[in-house]
Amino acid sequence: MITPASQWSSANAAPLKMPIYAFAVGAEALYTTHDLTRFGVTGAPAYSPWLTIPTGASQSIDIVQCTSSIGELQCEVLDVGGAVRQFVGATTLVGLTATLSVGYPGLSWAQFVPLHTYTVYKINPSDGYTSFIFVCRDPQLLEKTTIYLHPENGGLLSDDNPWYVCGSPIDVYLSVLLFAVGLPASAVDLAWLQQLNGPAEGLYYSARPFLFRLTESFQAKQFLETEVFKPSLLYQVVLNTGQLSLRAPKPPAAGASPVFTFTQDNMTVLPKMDRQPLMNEAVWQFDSGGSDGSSGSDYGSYNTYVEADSILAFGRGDQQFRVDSKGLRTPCGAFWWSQWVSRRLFRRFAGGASSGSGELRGGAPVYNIEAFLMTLPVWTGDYVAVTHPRIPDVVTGNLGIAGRVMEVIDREPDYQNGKMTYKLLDTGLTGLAPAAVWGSGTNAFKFGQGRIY
Amino acid sequence: MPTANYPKIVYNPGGGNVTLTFTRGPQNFHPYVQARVHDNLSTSGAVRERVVENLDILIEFGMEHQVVDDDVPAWASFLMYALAGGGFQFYPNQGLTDCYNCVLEDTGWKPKWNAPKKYAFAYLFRILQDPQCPPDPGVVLRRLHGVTS
Repeated sequence: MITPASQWSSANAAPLKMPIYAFAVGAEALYTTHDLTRFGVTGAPAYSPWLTIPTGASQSIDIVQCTSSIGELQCEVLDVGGAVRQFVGATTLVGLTATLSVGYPGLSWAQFVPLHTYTVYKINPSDGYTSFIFVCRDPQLLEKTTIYLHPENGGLLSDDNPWYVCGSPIDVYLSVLLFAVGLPASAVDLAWLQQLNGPAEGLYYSARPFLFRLTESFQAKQFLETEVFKPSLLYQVVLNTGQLSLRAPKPPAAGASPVFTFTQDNMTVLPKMDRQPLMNEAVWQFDSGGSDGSSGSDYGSYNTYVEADSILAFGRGDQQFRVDSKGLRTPCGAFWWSQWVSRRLFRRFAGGASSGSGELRGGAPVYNIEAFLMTLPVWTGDYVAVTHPRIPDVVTGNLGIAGRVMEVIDREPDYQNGKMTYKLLDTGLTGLAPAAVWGSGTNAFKFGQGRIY
Repeated sequence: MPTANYPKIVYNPGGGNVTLTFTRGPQNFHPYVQARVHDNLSTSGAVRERVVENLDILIEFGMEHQVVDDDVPAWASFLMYALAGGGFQFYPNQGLTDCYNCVLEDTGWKPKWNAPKKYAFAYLFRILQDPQCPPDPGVVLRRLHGVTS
């Protein structure tokens, strides 16, 4: 969730508001939707009030395949007196960092909050040539780089010059991004990733299941999604600051604390509902090329898990979860890892017959919510609560739900029309206790009170 | 005592400022607010969120008796400039210094015959939202009638 200063939050939560959007192209130019001086915004650098209100960029997650869409932001700037045409023609802008921020009248410039920190991808004149459209894409675009050089010695990747990458999924993720792709450390949400990797979360601290022997070129994003995220049920999100971050398949050890509550007073329509496909079978192949990856490309180990209670209750799901991993290794703990991840998968998507997920009675419900613009601090990957007297409770059959905990898996802003749309995933977290802790400090031992930990 | 003077327009077509002084008063002069807003009504009906893009001020008036060999030529020159997108300064009262940066909202200039050598025209100006923009249309009306407060 975006956590701005209280003055911004108050202005954003007001029932009557005038959001002022600002689009900065590197340090080269700043375009705003309103005259900042006229609306009492102090401390702003030089700007031109020629920006039209953008639609905004969406973030969408495929929660099972663990892929995330690359967001695209389009900002249209009126070409007043040919100034923008001359600017675009005289300056190299593609590749620069572009930031769309929002503030409110009377706030200082420093209180403006970034909404999207993207990279300029292309700049085109509009139809009729009255304006220029800056097309920007989120930092995941940088991951579409093809890696063909060994990061440690600069030579071509080959069988004679393999790059060994091993560790937890967070270790592999950071190795690829920081060493292979060459992103700076500031481009990733290092603090949160270190916490995910640390003992406090009880997630990956004791797990080092991956050992990749990379001998040929690969595209970083595709590699991460196929080989790291899906076998770990992680998914990537882009924060409003432009940092890349990951979200785990279980809530933090402190519990799934909702950062926001959607209610009948901030939703504009009754949500549409759907269900995720039931998944109660998981098939794993690993030990590619032997236990160290050096003996060809065939898989050495095959593993299948089924959620028996779910199959008894619902039959076999219509989608099978399948992982063909080039990096999971038996000596590194691939068997227990695949069992653990499968259990997480079933916990979320096997219907909750008796897997401790709160009796979902089928696939995990997904809610399409349209809400007020004031909800824009809610971010993809956040936990939120939903309370509404008219939404049917598909778990109990009652009319109305209260405090139902859900995960944001899709966020679509529509700043032009002043509203937000979300997709919320309900995996039955409501009412479950957080992990129990024995001891304190960094060596505290966490174990689950419920079956989710 | 407020002084009622006719309005004037100052514009620069490229060779320096040109002043277009109203030689007769506008008719049905009314500035008004055109709100660009988006309303969200909650499902409970108890809360409405209004997201405001801007509260634009427009000025609409008619010139019912423009004379062919008197003020029409000056207005014609101004309209050819303003219809092409040129901005101008509108003084509601030529005796006061208050002025607003405006653009012409019309996309055509169509005279309506009124009497021999007299034609009627309708005009719609948009006041640009810059630091000179008045806080509300009432200020424009007061200035038109020479009220400085």
